[in-house]
This record gives sequence, C-alpha cells and structure tokens, in this order.
Amino acid sequence: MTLRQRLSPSKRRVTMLAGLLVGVTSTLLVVSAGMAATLPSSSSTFSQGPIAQIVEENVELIDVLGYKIARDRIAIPTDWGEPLTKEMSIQTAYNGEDIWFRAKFPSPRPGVLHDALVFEGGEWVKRGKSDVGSVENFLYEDRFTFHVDDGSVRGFATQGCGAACHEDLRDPFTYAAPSKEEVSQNSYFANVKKKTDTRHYIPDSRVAGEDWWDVSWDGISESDAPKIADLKEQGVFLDQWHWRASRGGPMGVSDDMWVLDYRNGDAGKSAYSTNFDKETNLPKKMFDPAKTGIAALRWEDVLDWNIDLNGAYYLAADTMKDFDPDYAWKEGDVIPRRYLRTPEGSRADITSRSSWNDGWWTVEMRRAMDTGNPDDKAFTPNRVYNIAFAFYTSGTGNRWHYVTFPYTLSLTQLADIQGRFFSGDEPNWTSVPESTFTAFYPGQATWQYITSDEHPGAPAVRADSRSCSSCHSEEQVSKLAVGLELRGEREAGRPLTWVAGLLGIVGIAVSGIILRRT
Amino acid sequence: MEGIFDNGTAWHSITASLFQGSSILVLIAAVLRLFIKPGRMVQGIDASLASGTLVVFGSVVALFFAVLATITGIWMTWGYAATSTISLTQNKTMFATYGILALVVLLLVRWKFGPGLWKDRSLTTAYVSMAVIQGIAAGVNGSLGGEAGLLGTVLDPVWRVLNVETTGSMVLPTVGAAGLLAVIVAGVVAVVVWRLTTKGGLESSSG
Repeated sequence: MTLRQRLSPSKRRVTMLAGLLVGVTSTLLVVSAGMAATLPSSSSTFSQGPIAQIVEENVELIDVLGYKIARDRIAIPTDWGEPLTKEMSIQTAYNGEDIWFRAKFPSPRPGVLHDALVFEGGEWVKRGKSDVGSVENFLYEDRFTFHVDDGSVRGFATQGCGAACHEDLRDPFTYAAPSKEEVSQNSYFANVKKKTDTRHYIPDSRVAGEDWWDVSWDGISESDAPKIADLKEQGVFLDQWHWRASRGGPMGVSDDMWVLDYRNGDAGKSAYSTNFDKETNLPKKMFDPAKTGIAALRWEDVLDWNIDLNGAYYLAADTMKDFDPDYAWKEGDVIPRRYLRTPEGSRADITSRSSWNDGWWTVEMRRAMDTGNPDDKAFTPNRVYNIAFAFYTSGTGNRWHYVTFPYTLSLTQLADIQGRFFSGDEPNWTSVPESTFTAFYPGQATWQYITSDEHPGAPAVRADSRSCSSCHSEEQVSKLAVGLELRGEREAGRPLTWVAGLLGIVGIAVSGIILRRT
Repeated sequence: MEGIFDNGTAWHSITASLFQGSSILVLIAAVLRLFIKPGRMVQGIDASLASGTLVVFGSVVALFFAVLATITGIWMTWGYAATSTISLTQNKTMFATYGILALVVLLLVRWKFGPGLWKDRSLTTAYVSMAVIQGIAAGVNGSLGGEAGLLGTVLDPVWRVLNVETTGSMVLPTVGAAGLLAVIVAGVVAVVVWRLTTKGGLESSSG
C-alpha cells in the first residue's frame, strides 16, 4: 500500500498543502541564501582591513572562475565610507585675456597632506603612497582635474576621459599594469620618455591592432617618436588642468599637463619637489620655527586630522628652512615629503585659489586664454570644446576617483557649459551660470573594457558614435562598474541559485502530479 | 554583436514584449479560471472554458516569443560575452529560463492530463503555480530590461520595498526580504489551496 493510499483524503490535502508550503519556502530560502552568499565584502569604516579581506577571502575563488579581474586591485568607495556618485559644479568666465574655471566638489576632509616623513625610532619613515583605494591615514592629497579637447582626440567627445584610461596604466591600476622591467624594455619608454611606468595615453598615440581602438601601452616604439611629435604639433592631445591640494594648491598654483603618449608635464618646472635626500636618508627641508613657530607637525594631529588650514602645514619659501639634523627631533614629528617651489615655464601657466568649507572644496583656476605654448589648448570664442572632470578625495589616487561624462564647453556657442564674458580682472561668480554634474566612481571600466565584447555598447565606442551618457546614467554606470569589479563574489552563488530555482519549479510540478487523485 | 545598432534592440523589444504580454495573460487567465464558477456565461461565452483556453493558447504564444526574445536578446542585442559577464543580463537570462521552464512544464501538464486536470486539486495547484511563476518571471524580466534601458519600470516600487538592486546580482540584502517573499508566495499558495477546497473551482470538466 502506497503512502497516498494509506492517507485519508483530508490528510492528503493537508500533506499536499504542507508539502507545497515547505517546498516553496525552502526553495526561496535556498535561492536567497545563494544570493546572500554573493554579498560583497564591504565596510563603512575605513581601514586597509576590508581590502585585505577581499583579497584573502576571494583570491582562490577568482582563480576557479577564471575571472580576469585581480582582487588585489579592488577597493570601492563604500569601503572608506564614500558614495559611488557625488555632485559637482563648474562655472566658466573669461575677459578676453584670461579664462577662469571655478569648481565645487565635496570632500569629507580637506586632503591638504600628501606623503609625509615621520620620525620613528630615530629614523625618518615615509608614510603615504599611491595605493589601492583610500591610502592609510588619508595621506594622499585631494585633487581636481579636467581634460580639454578641441575635437582632435578620437574617442574623447563620446567617452571623455575613458579615451585616456587604459587597463595597463601604472600599478596599481588594474591587473594588467606592466612591471618596471617590462616598461624599461620598450624602446620608446627607455630611450624617448626615459620612464619606467605607464600613464594616461590616447588611442591615436599607439599603433593599433585590427582597428584604431585596439591599442595597448606597448604599441609604441622609438621609431614612433616622429609620429608622436607630429600629433603634438597638430594639436592631437588633451590639455590637462590639475589642481593639487598639497603639491601646489597652498602656493596658489595648479599643475599644467597634457596627455598624448603619456601624461606629460608642460615644459618648465613643477611646483613641487621631493623633500628627501636618498644619500643621507634625511629630509632636505623642515618647518622654520622662526617663521611658523614649529619645526614639524605632530603625527597624532595628522591622525586626528587636526590641521590648521590657515597655519603652516606645507613647506614653501615662507614656511621652511634647510633641514637641521641636530634639531631635537621627537618621536612622532612629521615633515611633508614634498616641498613647494615656484613653478616655471608653461608648467606655471595656471594659477589657483582654493578653500575648503563644510565638506566642500571651491577651487578657482585661471590661465591665459591663449598661452602661446604648444602644450596648451587655446580657448577662442565661437569654438566648442569637449571637457570632462575628475576629482580625488579621502586619500585616493590612481583610478579611485570620481569622473564625469564628457560635456561641451563654449564661450559663445550653445554648449553644456557656457562661458560668461566679463570686464575687469575678477569675475563676479554670482552672475556666472553654474553647471551641475554628477560624478561617478568608474571602477575598472577602462578603454579596453568598453571596447571589448563584454561591453554591450562596444560597437558605439568603436564607431566613436555615441556618448556613454546615451546608454547609462551616472548612478547606473557606477553600480555596473562595481558589479564588474565584484562579479566574482557576487556571481559565485549564481549556479546554485539557478539550479535551485529550476529544481523548485520542477519540484512543484512533480509534487502536484504525484499527489493527484485522478 | 553589431545587432545592438542594427535594430537588435528593436527586435528584442518586440519579441520580449509579446513574450511578457502573453505570459501576463496566462497568469491572469489561470487565476480567473480558478475563481470563475464552471458554466458562468458572460455575453454568451463560458468564461470558465474561455479562461482555460486562454491559458493554453497564451502559453504557446509566450513560449514561442520567449525563445525568440532569448535569441534576440543574447545574440542580437547584448552579445553572449556581455550577457554572461554582466549581473543584470545574467539576472535576465536566469529569470528567462525560469519562465521558459514553467511554460514548458505547464504545457506538458496540460498535454498529459488534458482539461480534466482542473478536477484535481494537486494538478490544478501545480498548473496554476506554473502559470504564476512564468508570469512573475516574465514581469521581472521586463522590469530588468526597462532598468537596462534607463526607462524605469512599474516594478520600481517593488524593488525599492524589497531593497533589491536591479543592476546587481538580484541579491536579497536581508533574511527579512527573503522571508517577506516566502510569506507572499506561501500566502498565494494558501489562497489557491483554500479556494480549491471550496466547491466552485473544482467542478468544471473542461479547460
């Protein structure tokens, strides 16, 4: 006698109902558990911990699944308590001679400190360096930067900075960064650039594979130097304005750079130098107690972010003197690892003014509309430019920044950002239109990714025909980017989820058939 | 792969809309068939019989367009490489397989047991459950498509309530959300079974 035959009709109904309820509920819980197991490791509290956890917990998983994303390059803004998107605004004014950009962007703390030398155990130890995600103790300066293109750089009008953002940029950008040894073996980098790392470059600077967009860092050799020079002369490069809260900001200057084969500094001298003598292992400069009242900052103040923005926190002519090794240095004394100097040449074209208040930076940058320098883009009326912005906060460098989609800028023509003419030497910002944009964390959505088959919009990128904003919102693209970064973790439960769902469906049907009375 | 700019999106939208529309029709018809008393005439038509027929007809149409939507979605719109790496499209394919499987099972049950299945509580429950599952799967699929296209969907409030991130891996963030879903579905099943224990829904002999 079967079980069904042993049970009375009423008991069979109850059994059927209970079975269905248990089946459906169990299926849902199994599915949920499978999905929950894919939750990313993330923490709202900053430390290197969450990043290390991701590496330790998932590196094997990645190998199993064969994903190409390296987990030791992963950190997302939520790990240090920041959102995936932030609002920013820009104003542009000109007086016929000079042009001004005034940006506002949020930063939870004024990142005016870069790397530092800390007196520990009788030695000066370096603290702070470019690293994955937010640098320990936030010892990496805040920055605001933008690229200007006059229509000569392929891919920029549609993809913005994505055209200069490649997976093989210097470590720790992504998994594909070449080593110093590899870079040194490239004849262009070894003999022409004399560099051992890779930085932003535009696709046209490389010898492409099957098509113009199919490029990599090593698609260039010494014999391409004339071609690069020709492109530069034709104006095929991005003009980069680069405000640094530590390395220039305090002196009222902004870095002036350009991107073609590399992220190059303009001709001349930068506003900063390294404050460390490798031979003596000592700083070169220190705070001048006679001018500032201190010889060094204190480590506990750095940790507590107890920095007086109106006081001495940077080394420059008005705050420093030559380092005195015989000074009575105390454990925990801190000296900036960079000192500021007066920039020269085309590198000194951009002056700046900045202030941090209530969680927001306001940065003004000013430059001659036409510097006459070959490494700058001249701003002329009746012309439309492409422009895209980025900023760094919370001790981040490298790719851990917020970027915007590309926008148009014009002084007289219809554009996303409209320059306002004024007479005089200082714009009245209250009368200058303010354009507000959403900046987003781009993850590892590099040029190589967005032109690959894994990116559904790749045909448009390859054809240089549509902007990323035609398919994505900023919020969506940042979530997709994070999803790609964490897909190993998030998708780990996919097979189980899939099978559980399918089994659940079949199970319900089979239960119904087995329990039938007719 | 080039399809996205060669009308791939249009073809997928058309086929997916027909799939989802048919699926919703199947769901509604199956539930109506459950509640309508046999022999209930509406403007000269046996509403019970018509509902049962719509379930079958709609399922055949939905299955046909579901397959077409899969083909146009994976190979003409997104490309296989993208479909298999982006969570949002993986969600879509997963729910599509749920929907297709439910449709296949529904049609198999109907083919095997014929209209007489409505006389048996177990078979009826399984049959209607398949109709509900494929309808929900189709609705989720359409919603994800709307999210992918930045169009938004009518299910947005549902995703917000459940705290589900549609661009992510459809991860249920808390056990509470999973429990909520379980309670909802269990409640639906309980209602179905409760209705089956009453007279009306069990007396029809044709579908």
